Amino acid sequence: MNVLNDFLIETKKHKHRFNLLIPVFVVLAEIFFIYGNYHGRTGLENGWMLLFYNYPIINSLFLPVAIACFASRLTDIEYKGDMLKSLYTFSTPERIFYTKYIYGVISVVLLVSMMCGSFYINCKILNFPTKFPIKYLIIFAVTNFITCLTLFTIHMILAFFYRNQAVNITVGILGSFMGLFTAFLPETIFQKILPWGSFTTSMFVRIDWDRETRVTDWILTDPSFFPTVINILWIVLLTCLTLLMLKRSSVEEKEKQKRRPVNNKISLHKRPIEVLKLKGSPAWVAFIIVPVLSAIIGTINYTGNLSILTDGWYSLWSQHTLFLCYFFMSVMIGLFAGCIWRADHAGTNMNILLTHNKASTIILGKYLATCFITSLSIIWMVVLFIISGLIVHVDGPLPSEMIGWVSVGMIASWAICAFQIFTSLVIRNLIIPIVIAFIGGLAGLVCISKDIPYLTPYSVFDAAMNRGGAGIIPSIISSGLFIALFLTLSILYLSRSDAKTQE
Amino acid sequence: MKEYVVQTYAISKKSGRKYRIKDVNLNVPRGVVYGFLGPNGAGKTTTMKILLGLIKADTGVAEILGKKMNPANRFRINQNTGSLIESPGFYPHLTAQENLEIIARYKKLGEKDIKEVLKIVQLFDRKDDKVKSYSLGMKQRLGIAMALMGKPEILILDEPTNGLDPAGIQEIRNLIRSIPEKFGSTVIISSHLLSEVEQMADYVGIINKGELIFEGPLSELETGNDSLEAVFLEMTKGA
Repeated sequence: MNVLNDFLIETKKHKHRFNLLIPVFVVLAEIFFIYGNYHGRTGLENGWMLLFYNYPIINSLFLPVAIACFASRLTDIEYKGDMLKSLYTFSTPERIFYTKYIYGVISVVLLVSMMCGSFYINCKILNFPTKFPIKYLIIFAVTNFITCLTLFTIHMILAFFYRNQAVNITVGILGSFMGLFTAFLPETIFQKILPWGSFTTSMFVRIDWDRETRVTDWILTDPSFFPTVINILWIVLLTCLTLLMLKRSSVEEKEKQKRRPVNNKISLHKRPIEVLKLKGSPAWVAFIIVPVLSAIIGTINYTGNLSILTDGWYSLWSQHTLFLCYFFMSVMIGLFAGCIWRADHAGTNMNILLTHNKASTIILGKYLATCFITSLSIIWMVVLFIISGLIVHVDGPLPSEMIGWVSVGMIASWAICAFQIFTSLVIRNLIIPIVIAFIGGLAGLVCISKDIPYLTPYSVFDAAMNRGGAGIIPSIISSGLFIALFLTLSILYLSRSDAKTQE
Repeated sequence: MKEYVVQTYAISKKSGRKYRIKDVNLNVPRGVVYGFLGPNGAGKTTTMKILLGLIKADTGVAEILGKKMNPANRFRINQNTGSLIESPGFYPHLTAQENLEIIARYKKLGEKDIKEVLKIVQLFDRKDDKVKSYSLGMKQRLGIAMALMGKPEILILDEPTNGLDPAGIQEIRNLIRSIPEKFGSTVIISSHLLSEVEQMADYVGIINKGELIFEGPLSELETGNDSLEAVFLEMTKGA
């Protein structure tokens, strides 16, 4: 009875938080994505196999970040109002953790059921026959449920034991990246034991692409349950770890008061104010690590597929930037913009900030810091690209147009920064703007496929980084307009609205 | 003719249909400690936020140092104010010194000012510790230190003695008492305790349910043989 009561309390806590919108969003995005790619195609009698092939790939892209966000939303409410210290007086850490966990598991069940439901919707709107062995849908549901549960367990631990939710989200982004990338590499044992990779390793439809006739065919294979078994082992292991940690946990003690020798000198910092505020925050870590992962995996993929990738530097570039630019850059910018605002949205800090600053100074300071780290990350990406190319001995000289792509891409990335700065200013929350960035990346992809790349900042960026697929002048004009628009909106919003504090 | 540093003309602010403050006319003379008194939820913080331009009044005008407060010149006017509104705001992952440094950069001040305020609130020895390790009282002191940065002409303090121990309260009271003389500032301090205001203020404004029901020198408030506390309770009950 206690459990039920706790659970009801938990659902009350999440009133007005609209948590279930996250799975709904994911499922809608998936329908949208598949519809965008396949509508109007005929001759797909085995269309359902196509869905079983595409869903796991999209899942490994969407779900890790979505689940990380979800776990953060579950635990962040306790941290925001410093509620844990009072919760611990009438409940045990185990009860608090597992009530949230049950809430999450139920949400995961809902997510997977909605996904299975969306299967039929997709079949209907794409005119695929809906008659297929139900056995496969059940296998799909079970394997995906176990994978989601594993990821949820990981992210719940991170979200619960680390107050700073950026840690959790960063792991989600990295996981999503590795899961997606390893899907395109020859299968290794590493991929099979990686929870993020198991969306794709447990799929049972393989693609067969005939290079001569350019015909794609899907083949059913025997489902592999090995990754699912590994995932169950992960869950057991992580649960033991969690129980151990919960036993030793207590309300986060105020940092041990180290008595430092009194220093009579006051030495001021040189770094810009917004950078100083981010001291000790891991927000920038993803900007450095994700390009490295992208470079390593991209290079391996390039050397493994030399027979198809015959364009030398161009091919290598596309391997390096494909996923990084299409999805991860916007999410990383979203995370960074969220972190840079979070410090000032907290407590009564907005009072201080607004008493002493013009709205324009505040916005520009934060905007420039975001642009700076983003540009740095793009330069880092280019450096890694050149190094990898030299290591694997790519023939021919470096493409000279590259400077053009990268410059346009950088300007376009500043437009994304402006948009995210605005979003995180208005939505005083870390998670929702990241979800928006994610959806934005997706919308950008759709705009590119519909040949209207100048419609969103994301698509301008994608197009530019994808071998300069966009015109230089229109891209710059479009980015300039976006930058001006969102910075103006931010400044107007900040100067017109009342100061909001958490008091 | 007295010189006023803060004057408001019938400022009102609504949230929804309810008035948070209604037609408040404040007149704060230069060089005094102005006690802004009222029960919880009377509209003290709302009024102070309007004085700083943090929120905008629906109707009415606030003049600070003779200049009309609006979003465009808020920042310029506030170069001459120091404030602590609601609870102190700070970045918990930074040290006290780094927090003050941020204020110093905003107000274009130097290390001398940081050192001075740290000494005044007696946090100098703990300046290199992260603020999240501070006790409530120390955080409050840090908030006061932030407000004192640069010896502002007007100091606006919203219940500054919250969370301090008796010795700390006494010390802060003495500090506030001495500020007009030391820095030449005018201090506006809010409180829900008359006894506290009585010990610090020369001038008093009493607000209840969003309306200013008394304003004048403390001496005018003393009526007959009744204690001040009784007068205050009587006033806020009837309104």
